Amino acid sequence: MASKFGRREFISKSAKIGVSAVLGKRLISGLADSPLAALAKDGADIAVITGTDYAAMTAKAVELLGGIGRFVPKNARVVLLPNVQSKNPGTFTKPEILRAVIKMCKNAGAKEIACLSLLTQQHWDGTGLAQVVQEEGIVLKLISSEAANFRTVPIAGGSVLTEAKITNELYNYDLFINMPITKDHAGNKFTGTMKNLMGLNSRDHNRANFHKPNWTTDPAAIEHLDKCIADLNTAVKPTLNIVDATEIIRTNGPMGPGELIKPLKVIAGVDRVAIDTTCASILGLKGEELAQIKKAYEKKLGEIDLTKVKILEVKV
Amino acid sequence: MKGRLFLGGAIFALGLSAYLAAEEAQKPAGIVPPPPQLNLLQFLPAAPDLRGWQPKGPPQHYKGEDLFLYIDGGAEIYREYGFKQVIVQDYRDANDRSITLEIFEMANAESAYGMFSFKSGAKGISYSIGQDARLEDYYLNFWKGPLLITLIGFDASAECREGILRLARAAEARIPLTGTRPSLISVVPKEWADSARIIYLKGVLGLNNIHAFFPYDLFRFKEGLAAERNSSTLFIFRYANTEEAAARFSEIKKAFAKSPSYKNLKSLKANDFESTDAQGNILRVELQGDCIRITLAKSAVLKK
Repeated sequence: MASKFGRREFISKSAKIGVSAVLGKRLISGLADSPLAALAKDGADIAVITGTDYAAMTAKAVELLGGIGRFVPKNARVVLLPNVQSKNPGTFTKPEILRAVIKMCKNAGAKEIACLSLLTQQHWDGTGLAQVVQEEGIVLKLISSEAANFRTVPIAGGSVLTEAKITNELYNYDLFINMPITKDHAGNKFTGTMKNLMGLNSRDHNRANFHKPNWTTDPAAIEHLDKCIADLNTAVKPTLNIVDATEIIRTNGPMGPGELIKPLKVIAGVDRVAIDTTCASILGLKGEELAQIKKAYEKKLGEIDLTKVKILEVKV
Repeated sequence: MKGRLFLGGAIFALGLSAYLAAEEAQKPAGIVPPPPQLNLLQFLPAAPDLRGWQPKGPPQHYKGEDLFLYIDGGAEIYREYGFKQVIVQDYRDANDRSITLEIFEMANAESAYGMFSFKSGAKGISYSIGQDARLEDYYLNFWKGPLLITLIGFDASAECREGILRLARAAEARIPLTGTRPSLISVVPKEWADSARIIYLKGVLGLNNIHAFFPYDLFRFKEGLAAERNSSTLFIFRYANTEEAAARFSEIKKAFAKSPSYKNLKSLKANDFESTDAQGNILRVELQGDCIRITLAKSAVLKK
């Protein structure tokens, strides 16, 4: 029997999208300080929605957090960061989820919506996400690797990083919605909201600083990567995180191909530590045993004890 | 056409002889020049073997450190097994279904087998393609000589799985190389022969993906394996010689005794001990010649 792996929106003809590699122009003080980041104080801390209609699940998740209006004010400029790492099943954010978020932002009156990516048009075409971007009429900004496209963001009190190299383009927007897929990672075992932020940091910087030279694979090198991820997350704070946990790989991550499991969940919230702890449990892992989550908790980026988090679980 | 075939054959023969010469050159002690890389293009299936599938776009090629550009964030495990280069080609059928073919050249046949064993799941179906092949829901891995070949389908439809098998056989037919499995595989005890899967290990990253005993590289093995069966796993770590294995066994025993993660350590004989981990698993650690063997069982009683 045929299975579809969540590419129901995929149409193989490559979308031809207006792409611009843009230098930052409108400088703001940094999304970490954006007042919008603090809006979500009531409602659920985390919404966990189970079902098969990924668009409806995404909308419900945001509704349980208080509605998109709490995160996206009228006339806001919104930037989205889905995961487009590969076109292998269970490795990229589903097109249905991206489309649902775009529609919600439009309904909230967003002035501009864009997707940012350090990867290539080929990645976007292969995952079917390019099709969504085109059909919804939003902008896809592919950031090339030139150093001028990234700004140095100091990391005060970083365990290992003293600075990040964040794409300038991020700072042209009022708020940032982080949209990872949670999955296995052969290096540090887990990908979630915090790991996804490496998609904003210069790939050269990731390569040279997050990963050890010559791809050393000892546990110290892996712990170093986890510390870098936690440090990076002190420099950039998403306004909202919406995680694809619908169909995901639990082996051979992050690129796959690997064993596909179908938790059929969309998870949303502001607290990255709590969300990643929740997502880790879906993969049979414990947040406190994953260095990136533990380090982020120690940096007070969020709550690792889920008994202290208001989690609403709903089936749609 | 004949000229093209001749040229292709000549290039292939040159590549093959260079590879074989390099394998030969690795045998004597002393300084060995890095072996030349194979021309992977020659192994990509092409008409008329494709039958309904067509290449889409040019192949992509990544060598050494550049693997990071292809497998962003997941390259380390390939590196641990001895990655040299990969070629990637997409194929499409008339209904726009896609299959991606990846041909990885690893350091040698043992490395290719190792990465094959790491990537293959326990639930796949074995096929007689290459030297071992496993078809999972939507992807197939096989290895042949120093090459690991992965084919990934758009989905798990019958058409895609059929296409995967067709392209795999077409690629296999173009690869005349063979190699031998790591000799360590032959030391797996008979009672573990029915393991759902046996993973050959070249380093601690592979091991930690199966079971993380300690948050550092305690075992420091030269090569290893993990055989998974029901609720128990057998690990065998091999060392350069019996002396090194004995010294490491002593260090391992001390580490288990000191670690708050392990309890109830008791020596059974001079060369083995048992312990219990935080999850209630029972571990038996044994020194056997140049190997250390660990049996990890979820049940309370280990078979004697």
